[in-house]
Order: sequence, then structure tokens, then C-alpha cells
Amino acid sequence: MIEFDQSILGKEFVLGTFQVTEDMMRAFAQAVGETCPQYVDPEAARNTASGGLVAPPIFYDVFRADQLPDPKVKFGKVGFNAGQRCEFHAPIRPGDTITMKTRITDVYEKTGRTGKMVFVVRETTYENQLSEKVAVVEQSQVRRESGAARE
Amino acid sequence: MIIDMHVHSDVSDDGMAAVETYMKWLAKLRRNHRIDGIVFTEHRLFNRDADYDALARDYDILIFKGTEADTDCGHVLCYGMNEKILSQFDLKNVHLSGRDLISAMEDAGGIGIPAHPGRRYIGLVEHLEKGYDIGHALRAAEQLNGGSSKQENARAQQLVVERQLFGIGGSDAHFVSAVGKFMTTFKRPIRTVQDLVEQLYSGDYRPITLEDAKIQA
Repeated sequence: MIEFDQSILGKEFVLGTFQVTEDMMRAFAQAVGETCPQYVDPEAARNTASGGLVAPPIFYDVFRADQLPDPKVKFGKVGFNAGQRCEFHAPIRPGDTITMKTRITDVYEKTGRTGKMVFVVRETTYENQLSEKVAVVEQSQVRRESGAARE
Repeated sequence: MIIDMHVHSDVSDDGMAAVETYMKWLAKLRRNHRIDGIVFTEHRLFNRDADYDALARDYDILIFKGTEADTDCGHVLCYGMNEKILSQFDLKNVHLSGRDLISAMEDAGGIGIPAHPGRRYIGLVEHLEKGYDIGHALRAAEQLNGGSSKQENARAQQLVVERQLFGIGGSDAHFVSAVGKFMTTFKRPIRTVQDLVEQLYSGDYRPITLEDAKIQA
């Protein structure tokens, strides 16, 4: 059995509210090498389906929480990102205010060819000032023992 | 009949593709290869509510559902899952007794077959070497697994020979391009999962590679 703080499961935490500016969007587009007009050129973006400048879908990743809820899993000393599933619902535009909320949806263990692993699954929702969901991201974090501990 | 016995859809926590996406990929693959069916053996669950009949009809292929359970002697592929087994075993539990599961599968009209037995931690061979008592219900093992290394499959092959087991093949695909890498060819026709279980007990089958399934021009 995995030992962790079960009381945290399913509980929603507001991680922060973020103001989106055109500069942030431009800097992000530049950083990821994005050149599509709807993401980088306000004039050209007016004539696209989005009707104006919007952020690339993965822009949500610039919003960072100081601290994530911790289920205090009593296992393993090594942790890493085990993957993300993203749903994009509405575009992010300059001037939007994005609220980031998260909850831990599952903590489970399994055994792989490197031994036991414990997965912590977080679902993070990004909403704009109209309470519209702009993105929902499910991220798995895996914890495992170090190589020496496994041996 | 040629069937990929071990595939994961996105219903599994580490699966990357939807069942229909596999069907689309297989439709292309089947232009040059004989593949009659596929079994979705999802990790630690039986996708009881999923109904793949319409997809099977549309793509003219057999689609079966199974489970890959985590047990104390490695992973076990379960074919012919039913309510009796589901009421006896909590598939989310990663510490199930492999011996009990394989035995119970037989009693319940299904079959449990150790997956990738040559792998460390999650393969039967290592557990047997440490003295695990697998009991008398073991009939077959996954001799060729698409996610295993050559050495791991060689250990699986050795297990099959030493214990005089029947051997199956499965791709262990978690994404579409891996499907069909290894499969199982059955001598007799299979239409239902009950036919599949019956044939798995009969021993009239062997593991093959995708190349073996190539349609000769």
C-alpha cells in the first residue's frame, strides 16, 4: 500500500491569477520559434479565423505556481514528469486574466521493468475572466527509488 | 487466424492512441499483412463498458478485450475476463497473487498468461528464479513481446521450452506504429473471446513476427 495524505485527493486549490499581455505572448512565441501570424502579428491576425492575436495553445505553461499541493507520498527519492494530456477549449488573448486551479485526482502504484513506481496525477484547469475554461492539463508525476535503493 | 494478443489503448495510463486510431493504422498495415484481430489488454483494468463491435464491423477485424494485471510474479495477461474474476480480484491492486489469478482464470473459463516473462521485476522468470511457486495452472507464456529486448525474449523462450508451455506473441504496443510487431497465429478459426480462450488451451498456435504475416504477392 502507498502511504500518502489521502485527505488531499480531489480537493481543489487555486494556484494563482495571471494577467496576460501582448508582450508576454510575443516573448513566448519568440522563445518557441512560433511564426504563425495569428500568434505574432496583430495586424495579420485580424484577418485570421481567430479575429485577432491569440496565444499558441501551450502558452498555459508560462503560468507557474509557487507551490503545488503535495500528497506527501512516502516512497522514492527520484521524481520526474511522466507525461501530460492537454485539452484546449478557448483561445487566450491579450488582456485576459487567467486563473489556475489544480487538484490531485489519483495516486497509484505500479511495477515496471525498473521496479516499483508511484504516480501522482494532477488535473489543472485554466479559466479566463469570463469563467471559460481555456485549457485543462492532466499531468502525471512519477516517483521511484534510486538505482542503488532498488538493488 | 493472426491476432496481436497484447495492445494498449489510451484507456491504459501509459497508452497513447485511441482504439479507432489503431484501426486506421491497421487498415493500412493490412494491405500488405494478414492481421485478423487485436486484443486490448489494458493495464490493471478491464474496460467492461467499452463496446468495440461497430468498429470491428467497420474495419472488418476482430477486437477483443482483456487485461494486463500486476501481480507478485510479474504482469499477467488475462483473456476471457468475466464477472466472476472481477468480483474476486481488485485489478487496481498491484500485489495480486499471480498464482491465484492464473488458477482462478482457468476456473472461471478464461486463461492467464504471464506477459514479457523475461523482463526484470515484472517478468515471471526472475520470480521463479527466486523460488516463486507458480502452481499447476500455467499453460502458456508470452514468448515474443514487442517491448522486450532480444535478451528478454530469449529468457521468455527458455521458459517456454523448459516448462513445456505454449508460446504466444504480442506487440505490447502503446502507440499505433508498434502494433503487430509480434503476433500469434492460430490454426483454427476464432470468432469470439471464448473461441480465443479455447484455442489458447489447445496449444494449436505459435508466436510470429510482422514479417511472417506479410502477404506474398
